[in-house]
Amino acid sequence: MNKKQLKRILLNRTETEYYIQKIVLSICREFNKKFEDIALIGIQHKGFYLAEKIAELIKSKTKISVPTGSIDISMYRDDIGTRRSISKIYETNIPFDVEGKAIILVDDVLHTGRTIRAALDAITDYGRPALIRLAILIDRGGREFPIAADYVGKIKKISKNMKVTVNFSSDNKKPIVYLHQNKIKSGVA
Amino acid sequence: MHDWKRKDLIAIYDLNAKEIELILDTAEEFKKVSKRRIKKVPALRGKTVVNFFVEPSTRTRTSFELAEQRLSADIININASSSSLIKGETLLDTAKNIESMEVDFIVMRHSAVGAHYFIADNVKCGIVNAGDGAHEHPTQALLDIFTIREKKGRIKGLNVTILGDILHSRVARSNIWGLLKLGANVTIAGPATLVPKEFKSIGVRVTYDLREALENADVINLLRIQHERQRSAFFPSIGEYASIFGLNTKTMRFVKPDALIMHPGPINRGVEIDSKFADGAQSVILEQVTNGIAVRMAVLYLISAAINK
Repeated sequence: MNKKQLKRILLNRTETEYYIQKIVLSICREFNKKFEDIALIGIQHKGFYLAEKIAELIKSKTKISVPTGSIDISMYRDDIGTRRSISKIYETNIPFDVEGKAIILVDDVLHTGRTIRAALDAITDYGRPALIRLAILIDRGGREFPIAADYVGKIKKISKNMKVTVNFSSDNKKPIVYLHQNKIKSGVA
Repeated sequence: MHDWKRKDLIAIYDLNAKEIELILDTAEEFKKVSKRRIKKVPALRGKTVVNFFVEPSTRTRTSFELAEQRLSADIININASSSSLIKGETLLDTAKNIESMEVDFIVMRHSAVGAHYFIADNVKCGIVNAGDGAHEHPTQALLDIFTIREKKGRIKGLNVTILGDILHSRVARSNIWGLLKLGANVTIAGPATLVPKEFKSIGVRVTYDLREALENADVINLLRIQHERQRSAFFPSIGEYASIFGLNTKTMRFVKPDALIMHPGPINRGVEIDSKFADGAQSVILEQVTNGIAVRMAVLYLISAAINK
């Protein structure tokens, strides 16, 4: 990683909290009183933290525990022929049957849409969900695939050579969003 | 990020502890793929693997083939008898011809030690060693170590005994290097003719006394008595080997009740181990077979990025 990169806060802890609440509200609005069929799947590893956070907020709002799983898309990436480095494979743990479920796929940042494309392939290898929705904390634009989120916290156009990262504190209570001037060298797009 | 830079996996001796642990961690996730309803991921879609077995093999080749298929690679098998080696083509020419067909990986078993390094230096394909003479069998050691780590939760500080024909065994050599690098205490044991004392110099305990080898062992890895490699007599008879060095009701008394019993297969029942124990609660022999696919998937996956460079 480049240590000299400039980093500033894009969304502070209060704003981040607000936008996550906004996602939870739109999910509750759509699935009003039909929570038994829904399940959350977070894309490893930031999307999984966010999924856990969303599940926690749904529970405090509705008293319903929504099953939450994690998915790692490394094995489904579309840049196999060109990629230079291998990223760590995080745990895929889907502790429920996806068959017939309304799956809410969760990730922190939506950019090119390629990660989501891979995640859709990965999830459908586990079964045939009734539907899949997409929840995103920050939609930064720059789509390369025809993919759109259903529940979005914040839409903010960020130029291609910048990187957005969501930082979850160790207790997963108060995330914060950073904008990096120089793109971080990373295996994950 | 991650430190995998190798396009080849030829010997455990070449790896450091971090690289070994990366393979094991990666294999944990690949193991789950085989447990799913759809036992396949597109990680190596569009890649071609040639399984080039100049020495015969059934289980290793089957395990590699399943690993490759579950990664969505396209595969071709070449055996010594069906290759042009018998028409006098050199090994390098055969490898160059395979490379010219835009193949990405060659999984090779060959009796000559060094053949893999030689081929790896001369072709762009990733080379995976599926066994070379009595030198190394890296994926077997990785699956053994994976199985131990899965069952015991760690490798560091464990007492591992490798019992049997160490002299002719590439499985033993790969295991010894891997276990030492990860901090295990390794003991080798068996008849003096088959257990070279030179291994002491790399930090392995050598004993010819079965009781000493079994007591305190957390893991006992049995090696097959290799009839086909044993041209001269290293011990008087199979029966004598079985009674002195085999795991049976008499010798199992020395074994800790929570020790794992392992064997790379194929088992000579009644020689290295009695059926009662090969199929008993302490045996993880079939789990080793299951884990072999996961470990081989992880190896092919990791080296796929290095081939692109």
